[in-house]
Amino acid sequence: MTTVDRAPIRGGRAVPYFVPAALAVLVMIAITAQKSSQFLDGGWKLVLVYASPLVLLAMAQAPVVLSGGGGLDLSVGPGAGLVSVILAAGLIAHQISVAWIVIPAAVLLGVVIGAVNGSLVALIRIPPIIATLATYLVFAGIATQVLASPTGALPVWMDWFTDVEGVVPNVVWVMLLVGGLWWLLTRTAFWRNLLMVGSNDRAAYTAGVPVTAVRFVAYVLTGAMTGVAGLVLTAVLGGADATVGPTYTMLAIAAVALGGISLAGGRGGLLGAACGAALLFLIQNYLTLTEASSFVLQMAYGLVLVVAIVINGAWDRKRKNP
Amino acid sequence: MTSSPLIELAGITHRYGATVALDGCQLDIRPGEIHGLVGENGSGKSTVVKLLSGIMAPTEGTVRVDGKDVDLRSPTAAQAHGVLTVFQETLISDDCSGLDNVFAGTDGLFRRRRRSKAELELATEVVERLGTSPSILTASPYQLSLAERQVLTLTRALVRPWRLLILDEATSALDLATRDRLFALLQAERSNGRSVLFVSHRMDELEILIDRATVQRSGHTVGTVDRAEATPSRLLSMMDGRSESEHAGAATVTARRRDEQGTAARLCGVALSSDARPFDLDVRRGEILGVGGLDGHGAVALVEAFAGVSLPPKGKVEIDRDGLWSRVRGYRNAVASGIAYVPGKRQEEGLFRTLDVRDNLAMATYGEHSRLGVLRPHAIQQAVRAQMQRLGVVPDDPDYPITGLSGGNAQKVLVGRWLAAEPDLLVLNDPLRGVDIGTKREFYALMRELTDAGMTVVMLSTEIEELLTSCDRVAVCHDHGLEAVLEGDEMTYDGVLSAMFGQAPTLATHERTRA
Ligand SMILES: Nc1ncnc2c1ncn2[C@@H]1O[C@H](COP(=O)(O)OP(=O)(O)OP(=O)(O)O)[C@@H](O)[C@H]1O
Ligand SMILES: [Mg+2]
Repeated sequence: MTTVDRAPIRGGRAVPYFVPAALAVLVMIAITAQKSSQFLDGGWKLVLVYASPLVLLAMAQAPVVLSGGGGLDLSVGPGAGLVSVILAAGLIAHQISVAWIVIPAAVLLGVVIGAVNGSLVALIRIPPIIATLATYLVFAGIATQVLASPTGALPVWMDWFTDVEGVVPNVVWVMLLVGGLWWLLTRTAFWRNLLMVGSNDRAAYTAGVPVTAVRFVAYVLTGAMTGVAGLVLTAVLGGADATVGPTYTMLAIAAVALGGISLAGGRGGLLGAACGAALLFLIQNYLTLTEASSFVLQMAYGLVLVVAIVINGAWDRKRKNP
Repeated sequence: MTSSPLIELAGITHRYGATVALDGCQLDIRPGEIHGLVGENGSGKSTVVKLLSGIMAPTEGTVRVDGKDVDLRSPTAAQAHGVLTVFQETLISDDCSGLDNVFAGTDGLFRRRRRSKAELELATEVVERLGTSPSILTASPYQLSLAERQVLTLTRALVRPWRLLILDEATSALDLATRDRLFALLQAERSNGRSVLFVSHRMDELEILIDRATVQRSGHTVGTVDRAEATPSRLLSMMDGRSESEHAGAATVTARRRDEQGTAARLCGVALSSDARPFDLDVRRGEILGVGGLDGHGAVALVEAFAGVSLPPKGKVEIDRDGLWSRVRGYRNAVASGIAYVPGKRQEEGLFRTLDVRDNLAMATYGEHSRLGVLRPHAIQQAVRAQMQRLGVVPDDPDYPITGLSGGNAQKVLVGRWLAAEPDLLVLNDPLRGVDIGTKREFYALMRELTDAGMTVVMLSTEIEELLTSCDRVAVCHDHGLEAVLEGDEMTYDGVLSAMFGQAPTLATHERTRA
């Protein structure tokens, strides 16, 4: 059929959002290898193990940020801490320490945490930053209440998480499992629903997307991953410590921003978040190697964050006006 | 007795806080009819549309589908009854592909209802039926024109099983060719027993399309008339309560300027796309230059070139500043040179959704209302009030949130902001989209007043009538080139139309009848 002639077809494929973060990770790996000869020689495995709670928490942060409407979960840090404390002081200390109970319990606790946040944000419609600030404080409070001082003595099977004997450290399998499940999720309608809601919730709602349910599920997913992070955190720490969790929140959010995920929602994915977290951890690792003071570390974080936001912004503009 | 209505609104009242948007609204739509819904800006048309689409529930009154009371609690519930809506604002998620935008909401929370391939086929069929390239389904929506975005929202409705299609001024962003194809499609579907609720301010569209029309005036239903009675003057008098004779022949053509006062701005060797023919175009001082063309043929690029929003790939844009030609190098530079631009995508590019009417209106003139950099709220309040009165913004409350304004009133605010800045060159991208006829006439008069005082206007319009009645000359783009600049006696409907189709009048009529 003849149609009225139109403007030429525009636009090729957009460059993936996570490319700047991934490139930065490569650069950081190269720099680290320069400084420390052991890094490529197996040292990276240990670095990865220590980085894993942050990487998992950054991944956990992604779904809620993607869901838009100011979506954010400040409580991921204390949430993971709480899971860790309950596992250590609630189950393991009472000799309930078999893997097939502890692992599902961790995920389930995470889901409950996510459901609490999801109810506050999606159902009661409290702005996410307020709602999760409240749960941040509550979770941190409960954790210290349950466990006033750090404990140790974990079951032997939990050493698996920190094992670096294999070709890759075992935590990589955990990350791949989480990433793989997420990838499966992106094959379902939920992914489209999530991006529609995150990008323009009015458009999504009028088209018939169940906006409330989508946002609620996003929080539950965040919670589930927080649970996994709590489990890994316990293994990496070799026990539970109520004060460690909260320190992760700001870094996880920074990682998400570094990873090219739009804080306005609707654009990004787990891979970017993981890259962002890896980048932060590598920077920290490098500064420790050079024995820089912790003030330098803080400044470095801030600087990297600003630079990353600028680069991602420029990237974005190019995408919109090719 | 006639067949029972497909859908019926009985005794509907709707309030937004203290504002009564509908009061005793009555509407019934029969199966297989195209029903017009008309009224001035703010008379409650979109509110009716939102009630029927399940966006909100009426404060009082009942909605019936097939004679049974229903509760349209959500857009999904409305869709389940076969009610599909294209809203006045083009609602598109920019981060998702066109295809995802079309099919969003058709699946469950996790379960996909169709495979992507089936989706693409179905959507392609509809998009092609509307005479648009299916590439809009795969392109990033950021790159789409307003008309193409509107085609996406139309496709979103048409791929779903519908019984009643609601078009809330959905044609205002479409170009002529697409609009005619849409009308042909609607007329074909009507014989399948499907109905359309058609909201529009364009009398010519109503005249060719509708079977019956319901008229709203400030929230009340004035009445419903049959096709034969629904003449423009009758509808207009029902809309504003004035007598019919006042409206007959009211569409006066404004006197055109003849006196030469030099050139205010010019395009030299400009090409609107990298492989298009370059051309020159002068804008005379104090004239209103209309710009027309089918969507995607460069008309938007032309006005954006004048405004410095996007510089053309070839050639230069110059503006006269006190006798010297100064080159326009970008938007900032254009603003500094006394150029103001009113964009076409009002939601995305024009309005500040979190601010009230006052700030949206006074935005561009803060400079004049401040002393030593400190704003003078009293002066702003006064200026804004005067401005709102002049533009006829309803409700006339500067504190009203901008999102609470009806579509046409929001448009008035957007244009009013830049009129108040009194630029040397005002560039408008379809400024009166969705504005009612009465207000349009006032706008034309206002523009004339300002051009008499020395302002120059370049105005893109998708409506040929508007170009003819309000402009001194009309530049028509075709295939990214300047097809014709029409003036005086050449400015006829057919003249503009054939230029839009590349000077071939036979092609134009062919397309129109075949569609
Ligand atoms: N969300 C809202 N909050 C407050 N007031 C509103 C809201 N939406 C609409 N109104 C008011 O309700 C009245 C009717 O608005 P509506 O959008 O239905 O008008 P309309 O007939 O569609 O006008 P237009 O032709 O300009 O689109 C207007 O006075 C408007 O200001
Ligand atoms: Mg409206």
